[in-house]
Amino acid sequence: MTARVGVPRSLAYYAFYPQWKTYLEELGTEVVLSPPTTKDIIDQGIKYTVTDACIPIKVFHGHVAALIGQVDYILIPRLVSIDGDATLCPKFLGLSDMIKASIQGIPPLLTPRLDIRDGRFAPMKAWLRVAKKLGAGRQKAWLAYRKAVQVGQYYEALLANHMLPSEAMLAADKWRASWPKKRPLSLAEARSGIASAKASKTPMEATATSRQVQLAVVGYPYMLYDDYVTCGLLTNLKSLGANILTPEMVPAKCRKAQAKKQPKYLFWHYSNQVIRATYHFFEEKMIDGLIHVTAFGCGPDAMVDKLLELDCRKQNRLPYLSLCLDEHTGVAGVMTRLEAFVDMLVRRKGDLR
Amino acid sequence: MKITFPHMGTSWIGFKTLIEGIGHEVVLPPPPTKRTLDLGTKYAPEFACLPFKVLLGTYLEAIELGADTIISSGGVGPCRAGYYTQLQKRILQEQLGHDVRVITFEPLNRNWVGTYRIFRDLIRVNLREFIGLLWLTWQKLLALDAIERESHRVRPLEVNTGSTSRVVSKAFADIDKADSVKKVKDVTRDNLEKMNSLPQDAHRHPLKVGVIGEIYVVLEPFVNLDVVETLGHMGVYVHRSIFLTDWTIENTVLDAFRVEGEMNIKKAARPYLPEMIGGHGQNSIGETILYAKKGYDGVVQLAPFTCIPEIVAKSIIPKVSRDYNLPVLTLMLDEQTGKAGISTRLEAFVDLLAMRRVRLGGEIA
Ligand code: SF4
Ligand code: SF4
Repeated sequence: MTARVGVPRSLAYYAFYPQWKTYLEELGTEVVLSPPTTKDIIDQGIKYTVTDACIPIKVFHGHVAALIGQVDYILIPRLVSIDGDATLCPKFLGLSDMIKASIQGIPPLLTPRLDIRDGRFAPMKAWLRVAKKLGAGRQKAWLAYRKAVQVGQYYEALLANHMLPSEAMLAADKWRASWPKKRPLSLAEARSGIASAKASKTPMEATATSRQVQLAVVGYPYMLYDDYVTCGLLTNLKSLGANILTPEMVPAKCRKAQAKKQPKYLFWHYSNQVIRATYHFFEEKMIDGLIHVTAFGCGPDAMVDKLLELDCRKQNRLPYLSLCLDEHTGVAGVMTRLEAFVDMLVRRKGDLR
Repeated sequence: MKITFPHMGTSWIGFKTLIEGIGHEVVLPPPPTKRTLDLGTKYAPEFACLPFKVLLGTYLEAIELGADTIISSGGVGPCRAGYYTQLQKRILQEQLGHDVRVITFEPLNRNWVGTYRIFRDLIRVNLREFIGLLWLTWQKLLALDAIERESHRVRPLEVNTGSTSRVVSKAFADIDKADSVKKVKDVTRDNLEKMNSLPQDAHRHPLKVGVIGEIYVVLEPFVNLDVVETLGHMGVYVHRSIFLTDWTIENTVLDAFRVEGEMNIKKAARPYLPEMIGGHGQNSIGETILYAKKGYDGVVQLAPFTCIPEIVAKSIIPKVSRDYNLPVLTLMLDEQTGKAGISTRLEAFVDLLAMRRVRLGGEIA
């Protein structure tokens, strides 16, 4: 019988799922993804976490709980450093340990430790050990790894081309099926044949086109793209007439180029990405306003939020909205604030013309 | 230059000596009060950790008192403390328009050159005098820690409540005044003797409690609402896991030579948390286990609200507590925490520990 490996649909899922899925499936296992976040999942998560935990951590616990009984293993990589410079938030560093201590009766965890500071090949070695645990041969594992990395790169490129994760995952899957054929880079081509491809416009374009404003929505991927947690933030903004940019839409190279503007790097990978993407938007004069989506009680964001506020002030007082979400956030409240903010941007833009 | 620096427990006595010695005027950071915290809370981000807020408030008060330069330490993460001064500097300068200089010492092993430059800039005495001063400062810090450590032992045994604390204050004042290593040693010895000759009840077998958690809230009595002293007055022997001098040796001196300190603690923590997560997260786990092995009656974990590593630790500690059968009380401190609430919780916890000890066949008084 093939082993079933569960992947919780939260946190690093948004950045790495295509890569992980490819790897695990190429090894001959069956990958089981937890369902999209629901109230039920959050409630489960709350049950297993301390009250002080941020909402993404609660959500993650909920997703792990949802996998119990369905799988033989659960994949929770220990992401320590993926850029060789910063680490991830301490809660990522101790993620699997928290899970192990708080949820009883979970299947064995697969926790490859990914720390690129240990050497360029350290992540690969960690993944190869996973393969061994799953009983796959070395050569098979190596081929799977190579393919997984390529799929991961392709996925990132799609995101940088303004695809949303949900869509990009499908496109990456499709390419993988025809691997190693050359990967379709033009968006239209990548999108053709994916079930969700409906319109010809890029997904982040405003649906209400009468009063367009350019808006950057920054925050951690596991906040931005979890529709349940954000109360459908991105869709709502589009319907209010905003074209949206997110950090993932800035190619990694451009983000990196902005690093020199930080007097001291932040210590957390995703926080740096948020800041650098924002600096990129500033430099290219791409946006009329900035929304920072942050989790109630998030440690790193206490710093990031203040930095963004001070930086926007320096950019000729660019309008800035900080949106702090928790498990009690209601759609209505968020909508009111978004409407007011977008209205203000529209007015301001009119005045400036 | 009128220099100020962070206020952390009693360490100001040492730093004052050092900065005055190298030829600058010191604006003593006022001990934090409610007002300090209010000031800090007003200008700090809402979810900044408590130490950030208190320190920001302290700087603002010191600026009111005329300070024009702030000296503080940096760091490399993964926790927020290393980024404190970066952000505080921008809040002070950009947002509030204060004309202050902020000098940050980054950890030695990453930045020997930068550290040297700062020193060259600051120091107005020759190298020999400077080394002498460093030695005196270090001796003072050691003396302060020795006094505190002894007070933790004596306080639960004292017959007259408060007598230990009085000697402690006197000792701190003496150490502050001492101007040579010899004097520091003399006054320390005298005060330790005095403390030991206080009337004590030798028949008590005080409960033994370990205090763990994030360094700033463990060391700063204002922020932890005098947890250590309160426990002492309840007749509990407190072992504080962190003393500044130990911490400096383990984390600064050894780190400068790229040696990892606190190996025994990290090793103990490994089965539950094999990863360094910054702050004192891993230590909190390791120390809890070591206290259990040493037969302590309980552990109190102190953590600032939103403290990332301590939240991770708090999530794991219940399992450690079950596995080792050791009660742990976690106190998350924020600007709303009141002393009365903390005392009530401590009392309940101490009662529980007392009952537990009796049940296990031990005795207390
Ligand atoms: S970065 Fe913030 S939101 Fe993400 S896990 Fe850490 S504390 Fe939670
Ligand atoms: S250890 Fe806790 S209190 Fe200290 S900087 Fe980190 S989050 Fe803040």
